[in-house]
Amino acid sequence: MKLPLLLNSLNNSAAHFPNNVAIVTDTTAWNYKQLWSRIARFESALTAIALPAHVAVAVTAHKTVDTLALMLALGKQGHTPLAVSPTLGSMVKPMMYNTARVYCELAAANISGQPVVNLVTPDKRQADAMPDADPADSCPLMLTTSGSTGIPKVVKLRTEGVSAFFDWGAEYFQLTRGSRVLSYAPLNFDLSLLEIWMPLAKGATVILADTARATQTGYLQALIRHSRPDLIQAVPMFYSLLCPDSNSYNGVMDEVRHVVFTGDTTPQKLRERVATRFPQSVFHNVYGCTETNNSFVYSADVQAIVRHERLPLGRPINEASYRIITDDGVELDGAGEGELHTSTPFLAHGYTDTKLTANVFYTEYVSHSPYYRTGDRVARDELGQLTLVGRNDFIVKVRGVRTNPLDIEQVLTKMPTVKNAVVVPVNDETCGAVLHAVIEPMQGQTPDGLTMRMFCAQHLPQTSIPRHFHLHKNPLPMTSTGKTDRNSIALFIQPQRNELA
Amino acid sequence: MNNEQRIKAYICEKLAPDINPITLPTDIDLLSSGVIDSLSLVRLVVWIEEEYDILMGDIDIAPEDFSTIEMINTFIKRHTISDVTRTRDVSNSTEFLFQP
Repeated sequence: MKLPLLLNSLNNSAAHFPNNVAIVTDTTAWNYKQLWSRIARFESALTAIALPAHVAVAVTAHKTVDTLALMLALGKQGHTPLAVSPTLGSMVKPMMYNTARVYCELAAANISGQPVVNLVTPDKRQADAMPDADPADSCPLMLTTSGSTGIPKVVKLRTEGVSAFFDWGAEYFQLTRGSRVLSYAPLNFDLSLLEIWMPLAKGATVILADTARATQTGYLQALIRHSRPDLIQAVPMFYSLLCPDSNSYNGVMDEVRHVVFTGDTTPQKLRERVATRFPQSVFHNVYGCTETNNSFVYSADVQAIVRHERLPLGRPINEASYRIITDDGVELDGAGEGELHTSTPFLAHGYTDTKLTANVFYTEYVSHSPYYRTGDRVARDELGQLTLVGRNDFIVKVRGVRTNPLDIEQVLTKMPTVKNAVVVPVNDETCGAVLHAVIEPMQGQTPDGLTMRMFCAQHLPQTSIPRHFHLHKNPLPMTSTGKTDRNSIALFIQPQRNELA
Repeated sequence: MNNEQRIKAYICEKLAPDINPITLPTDIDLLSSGVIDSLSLVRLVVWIEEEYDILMGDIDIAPEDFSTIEMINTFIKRHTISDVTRTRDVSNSTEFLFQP
């Protein structure tokens, strides 16, 4: 992580607050002095790799203190790390690294406690230096985001943007030296900016959840109880694991000051369960993406957070501005619906692939501000309140009527017998799309098809009632980012589709 | 198996396999309750034509004739004993069903 603000702060914490805890794992607490020392030792270990000056280096993002130390050591030496998932396919890497001009991939390890840097991809090195001549072009960290072609897009973050984000996050969530922040997301996710890098820059303590046990309800409940974080940020999957509908644990976690929902829509039913567990917390719905970082935040107390059927996006963060572009390509003035374009002080440079950058980043010609097309569809009401409608490409036409599968999912999950629901549109020559609802029932429940259809009929237009309902007795499959894996679910219904054809 | 049971079996087997036939009342409105959609209703009408040898060409079909299983049964009974001309093109007889 090549961020002067962070590196200077770590140095300062090590010098003046050496015994303050920087990182807590399930087995070890690392104070700032130990962390700074570990970074220095990884700097020494890097000499064996003989990196050219100022190159991009991929780092296998195992969520360990050693990996963090390696990323910081690279930054200290002027290199820009690219955090890559440890499970990223070997076929994808060469293409991605070539586009991102990555010199090599490294992984942190230790042998008997001694730092070791392993060269994961020793061949096909690109010796291009990162363009650091202009400080405004400086890139402290690169992250990946999913690409529609299957090759992840590499996002180049901006030094000023990341620094501004740290300042906003610390102020908004009242983080100071000694505050405790839970880190649940994988290290290669943009969520790590708020969960790991920002707390370290502010002298706070990061609590690293064990990746291997990250899906165990008992582990997560014990982790929160024992580590007592001030701030939790996570995707809905985390909260549904932490607060399952069938769990006998009834304790409350009233030391958590801030509970942040992010990454996906958090259903009302799940928010109710979370609110019961965190009665003293302030709740936040944060909207953003890797390219823009957080753009909107809606904050509410325990009563307000469960009141909304669908959470508002809230207000733009800092000087963020936004435009809503209608299907006709004009900017919406007043109430209505369209694609959200945002301009935030945290905006990234773009992708390492300049063609991809040109597709979604642009300069607005009146304000000359840089904007990003989010691909998300939002609605604005008469009072100016924004809500997320879904992905722009999620909307389908069913018998000529524009239909949002997310609306249907929201209705289905209101049923007491339904835990999760995913609606998959399948192309159909006659109808445009035929809707298949895949239902994960509550434990011990078997929702009846007739009841579900009648419930939909009460709450939705007729064209939004799925033609087919499929029960999925096991938990619905999730992607590595904690979102429902719609591709796997489409495969699940494939044999049944063939039968119904 | 009587007509109502046969219709119910067809719906629950071919159009809405998630519905248990035992739970499907014969007086429930099939469209407004979401049991079937308008295109599935077309399939149902075509099946009735073939299953009961009824040609819809000369028949004045009202939407309520197919609103419930009971009404469909009444329709079948009424038209299986009538003398319907069987030479008409039936392709337009279900136009009313093509509504969103």
